[in-house]
Amino acid sequence: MKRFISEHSGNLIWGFDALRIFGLALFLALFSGCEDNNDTKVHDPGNFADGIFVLNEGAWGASNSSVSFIPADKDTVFADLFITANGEDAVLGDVLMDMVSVDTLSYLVLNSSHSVMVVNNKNFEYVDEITGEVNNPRHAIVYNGLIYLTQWGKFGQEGAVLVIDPFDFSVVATIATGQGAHGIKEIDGKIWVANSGGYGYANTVSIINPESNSVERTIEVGDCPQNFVVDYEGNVWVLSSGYTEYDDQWQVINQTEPYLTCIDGETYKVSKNFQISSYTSPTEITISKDKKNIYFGGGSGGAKLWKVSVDNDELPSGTFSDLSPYGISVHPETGNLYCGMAPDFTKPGSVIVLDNEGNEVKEYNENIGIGPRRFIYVSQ
Amino acid sequence: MLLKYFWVSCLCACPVLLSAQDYFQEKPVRLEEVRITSSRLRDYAVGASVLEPDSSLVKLHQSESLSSLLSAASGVNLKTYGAGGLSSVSLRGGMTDHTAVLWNGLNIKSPMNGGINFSVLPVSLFGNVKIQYGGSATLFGSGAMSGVVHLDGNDLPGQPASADISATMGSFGFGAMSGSLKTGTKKFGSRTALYLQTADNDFPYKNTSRIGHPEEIQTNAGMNQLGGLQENQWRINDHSLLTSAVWFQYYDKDLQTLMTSRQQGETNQTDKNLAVSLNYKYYAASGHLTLKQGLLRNKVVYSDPAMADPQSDNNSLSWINEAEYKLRLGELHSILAGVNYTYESAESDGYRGSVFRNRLAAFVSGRLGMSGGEGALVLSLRDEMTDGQIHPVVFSFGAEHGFLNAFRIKGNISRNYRIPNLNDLYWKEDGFSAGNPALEPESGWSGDAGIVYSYKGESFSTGVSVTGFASSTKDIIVWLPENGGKWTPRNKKNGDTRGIEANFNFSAIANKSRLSGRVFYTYTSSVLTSSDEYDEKQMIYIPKHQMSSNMEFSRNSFYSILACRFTGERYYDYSKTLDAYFIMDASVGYRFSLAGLDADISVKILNLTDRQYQVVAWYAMPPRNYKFTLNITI
Repeated sequence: MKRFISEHSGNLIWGFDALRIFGLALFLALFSGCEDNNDTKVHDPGNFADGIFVLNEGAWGASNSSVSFIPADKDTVFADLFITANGEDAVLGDVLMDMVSVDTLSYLVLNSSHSVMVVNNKNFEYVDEITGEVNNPRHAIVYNGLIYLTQWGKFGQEGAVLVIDPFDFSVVATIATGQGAHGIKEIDGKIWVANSGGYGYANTVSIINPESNSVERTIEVGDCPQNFVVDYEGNVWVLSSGYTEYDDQWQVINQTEPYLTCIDGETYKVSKNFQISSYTSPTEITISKDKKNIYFGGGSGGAKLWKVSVDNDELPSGTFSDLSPYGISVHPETGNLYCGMAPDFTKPGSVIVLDNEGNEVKEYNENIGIGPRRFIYVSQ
Repeated sequence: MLLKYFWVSCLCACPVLLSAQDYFQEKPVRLEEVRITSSRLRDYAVGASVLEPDSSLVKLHQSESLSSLLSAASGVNLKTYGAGGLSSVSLRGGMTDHTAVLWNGLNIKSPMNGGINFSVLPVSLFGNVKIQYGGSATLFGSGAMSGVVHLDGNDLPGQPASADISATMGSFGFGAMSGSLKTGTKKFGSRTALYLQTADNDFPYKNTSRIGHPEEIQTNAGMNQLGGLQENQWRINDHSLLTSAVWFQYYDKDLQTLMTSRQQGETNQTDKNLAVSLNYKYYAASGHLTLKQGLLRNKVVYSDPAMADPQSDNNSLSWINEAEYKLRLGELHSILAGVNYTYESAESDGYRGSVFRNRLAAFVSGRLGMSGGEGALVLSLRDEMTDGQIHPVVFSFGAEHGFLNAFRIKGNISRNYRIPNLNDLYWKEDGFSAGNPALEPESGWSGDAGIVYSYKGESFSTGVSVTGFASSTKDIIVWLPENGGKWTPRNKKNGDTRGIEANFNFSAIANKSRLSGRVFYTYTSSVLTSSDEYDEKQMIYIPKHQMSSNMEFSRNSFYSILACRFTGERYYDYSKTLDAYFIMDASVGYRFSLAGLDADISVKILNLTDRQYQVVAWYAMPPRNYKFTLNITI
């Protein structure tokens, strides 16, 4: 059974019929795979059955986000799956932040397009585009057959989670959470949302009961929480990047510290709270394959990478790696850390793979788009 | 019938010819002329290409902005963010901040970002628009690396008193009114002009960012503008002349929703500008002295309800002082020398408090006439000091000479520079960006050479010219993320540009009919040398091929104009391109007498073929649209 696996937890999010994939693989093997002689782009969308989707954000305003695919058994990276499937003049959208899949469809979250692009996940062909209530969307998960999408909304609006029917594309519920709803994760039948502050300030995590589609608990954490991981004991770790406050003249009048907070998964009590002041506003967090080590750092602030054991009572003083990746993710099978490198937003980035000691295992330079940030793994 | 005009076609203003008749002879005292910049441009731009947009184009775009006029003008590449949106000029493959803009001899580009928005400059305000191509413009100071756009008024004293009023209505909520009043005596002239403009820009367009390219209506693209200009020119006595001008305007623009956004944009920008100039000219027996003063005040408020701080307030002030003396040495030669002191200050949400700088420049030009006025050589030098830091001396050497009564060769070589703008230097350090006070000026070389053929007969004229140009710029300032992801400007890239300009123009008159036209083609290869994907690639938003043409036919009181422009494919990131486009604009008009007043009524069809195109990626441009103009002159 082929499965798509979300980057943060390694939990199985959804799956679909392996026969279809086999068919697709056969089709692709027979009918495509040609290489364009003019450049190094490979226009074969490849076999999506085993590999990694790399979501490239693109440059804000330029609508040049793209999806690359790294097959497990090849060294070649397939570029621009959406263009390959839909033609040279097809446009995926502006600032791609996330992707989830339900059955035969994939849903691509496009932040600055204010939309969710729906494609056929066998071949990335366009199916539809969800717009309307979607405004500044950030991340999505699939739970109980429905898509849960966080969004900042317009300025002045509270951040929210839109619950979207994956087949008729309608919004079936809107759950107000907190300012700048960003990271989202299903943990033990509840949906956790990090209220990142968005345009302003927030320091809470909202826990949604999906049965009633309502917030049943709000937990105070560090300033501007970004995302979650769950360790081997079921504790939830929240990374908060800290808040910078400016006055009318844009002078920094207050800068709060980033925090790594551990919340007991059963009692919802904060059990550990690490101040990570010297780590320059990290926004990315992921957890090792055995769920015993947390990696954090990176993001748009250019922070380096740190690794901390979930059993430790203090943070390490040295870095895990001096790379400043834009996004990080642990491969659920190899346990390697995939780092999306975005040197700037006018040219393509690369993907650097580190082992769990921080040594570079591999680098993908070809056919990665601008601003690689998210990784979606597909198993056999 | 038309062939009759073609075969007798002949020259009018080839690029260089505009001022050619004056290159070769020094006129003793030119008190008749009151314009301030024209003397330096005419006498010392020897070897350079200077072009004035044809009168037919000016007529076609009379009720619009310089952005629309220059987009149709020869060899000008405009980067326009949608209808009425921010619009900046680049010439000969240079960057947009490599072209200076002078109004009455004052550089009116913002000291903050080195830019100016051509969409806020109404055509009706400027009697004279000239484009000077290439690095010969180095005499006009920092930033004039690939050319200068000169904006001036007309001479007023001795002109008959007149008043005119013009009203235009057009598609998509376009409305414009302008009026001017000219009075005076032989010694004094005064002109007051006012204008108003509004547009909804709610045009339909094909959304090429969506699968199936559905038709949508443009949102959040409207604008309102009003402004005025008051200018006086006073001949104090036989030796002295005083001119003044006050120009103010208010521009309120909703910033067009990108076609890739499924939510309507809500951003807005208001510009308030005030420019004052005061000039004095003293004519002595052997030359003349010019004193110039200018004060420029700009306020730009950008508002975005989607931002934490929904408004960003940017203010700049420039105070420009210049003195120059031109000494005539016989009938053919002259020397011009001058100094310029400019104080620039800016206050912005982007800076920590306000910032300012003092700029001092000295310049000298010598002109050597040759062959009894058949040719001339000009050498210009300029040096500038910013807050005590002396920049390298730059120069321009130009030459031109006529032969066989119909041909002229010309050439120019120059060393150029551009000092960093205030944003580059002083942008405050926050989580995402930081200015870099250690930036060096950009510097480079440029040169051009060309040949001009011209023929002028009684009823026809024609001209053909070909110019090759090249330039090399080093230490180009680019903003890149570094040091923990912060965007910081660095002297990073080098740029090399090569190209060819070719011009053909003609004008023919027979009986009461007149036919004139121009075709101008530019090939530009403009590459950046860098250690990334842009290495040796054509610079973004610079087309390799560009062509413009216009033709006017008039008979008795009837006239018609057809203007076309072609812009080739352009990169907008490291691999993606915007399609080439070909746009046609047309106008027909009729002049008649209305209750004893001169009236002119015209219909314009812009984007005649209803072409869908983008100048900047994902900003829709208007489809075919119409304008009706009535102009009455008393």
